[in-house]
Amino acid sequence: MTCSLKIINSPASPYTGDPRHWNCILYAGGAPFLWTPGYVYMVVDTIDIQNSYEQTVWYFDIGANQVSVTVDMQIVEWWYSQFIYQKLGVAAIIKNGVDYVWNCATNKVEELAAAVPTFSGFAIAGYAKA
Amino acid sequence: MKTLEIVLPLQVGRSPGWYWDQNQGRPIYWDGKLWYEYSAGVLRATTVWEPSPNDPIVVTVGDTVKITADFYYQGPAITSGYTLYGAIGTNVLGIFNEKLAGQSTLTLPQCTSPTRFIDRFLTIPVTAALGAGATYAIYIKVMSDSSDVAISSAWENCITVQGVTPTFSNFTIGSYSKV
Repeated sequence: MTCSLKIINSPASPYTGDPRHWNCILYAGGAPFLWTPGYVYMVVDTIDIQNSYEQTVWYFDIGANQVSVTVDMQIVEWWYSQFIYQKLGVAAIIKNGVDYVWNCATNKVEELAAAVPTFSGFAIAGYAKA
Repeated sequence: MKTLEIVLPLQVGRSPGWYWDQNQGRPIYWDGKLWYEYSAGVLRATTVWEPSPNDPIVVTVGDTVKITADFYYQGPAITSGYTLYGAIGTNVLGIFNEKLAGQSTLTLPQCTSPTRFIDRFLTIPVTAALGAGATYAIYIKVMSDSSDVAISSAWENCITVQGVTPTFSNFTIGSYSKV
C-alpha cells in the first residue's frame, strides 16, 4: 500500500553545483513522524549537481486504507560551511495507491490521473481472404 | 523582409471538430473517437463511407475474411475487456447494414507515447448470409464493455461473393413406369 509524489518545477539552486539535501517529512495531526514505522524520512544528496529535481519521486508507505497526512517538503541547501535553509511545504490529503505530483510553481499537490486507454488514427489497414 | 514561421505540432490522428464528408456531401463532427452528424437538433453517431483503396476480394461460402487494423495506442496495458470488432455489410442510406461480423480479443502493451499497431486483426467466416453476386463493405471498431471506443470509416466494395449458377448437365430421361 504505497503512493508516490513526483516533484516538478522545483526552484533552482542559488549555488549551482552545491550539495543539496531534500528532507521529506510526513506530518499527521500536526506532528512530524520521523523514522516512524509506516512513514518515511529521506535525505537525498546525490542528485543535485544539475538541479534536475524534476525527476525526483518519493515513495511513501502510509499504512492501510486512506490516511490523511500533511506533506512538508524541506529543501536544505549547504554552501561551504554556511547553512541556507529553504522550506517549501504544502498540505494534501494522501490516499493509498494514488500517485501525486507536487507542482512547486503553484505549490499544489494534485493527483495524477490514471492513464486512460487512448486510440487514435484508427483505420482499416487491409483485408484479405484468410 | 520579415518572415513568420509557424511550426505546427506533429499530431497523430485528427483533431476533434467539424469536417466535410465529401462522399456524402454533409458536415460531420469528430469527437476524437466517433463520427457524428447533426440532424433535428442533436448529434447522432454516424458512419463515414469511403471507397476501398484496394480491389475487392472474391470469396465464397466457407471462406474466411481477415481484416487488419491500423491505429495508434497510448495508455496502460490492455489484457482483457477490449475487443476488435469487424463487420461485412451494405450501405443502406448511409447506415451500415451488418450481414456478418467477427471479433477478436484485443491485447496491447503499456505505451507511454502513441505507438502504432498494424498487426491486430479479426476474421469473419463467410456464410450464406451474404448473397451471391453482390459486393459488400467492411468496417472495424474497438469495443469495451459493449461501448464503441474507436471506429473506422466504412470501406465500400471490398468483398465480392462469387455467384454459384445452377448448372445441369447430361439431362436425359432416366426411365418410365406405371405408378
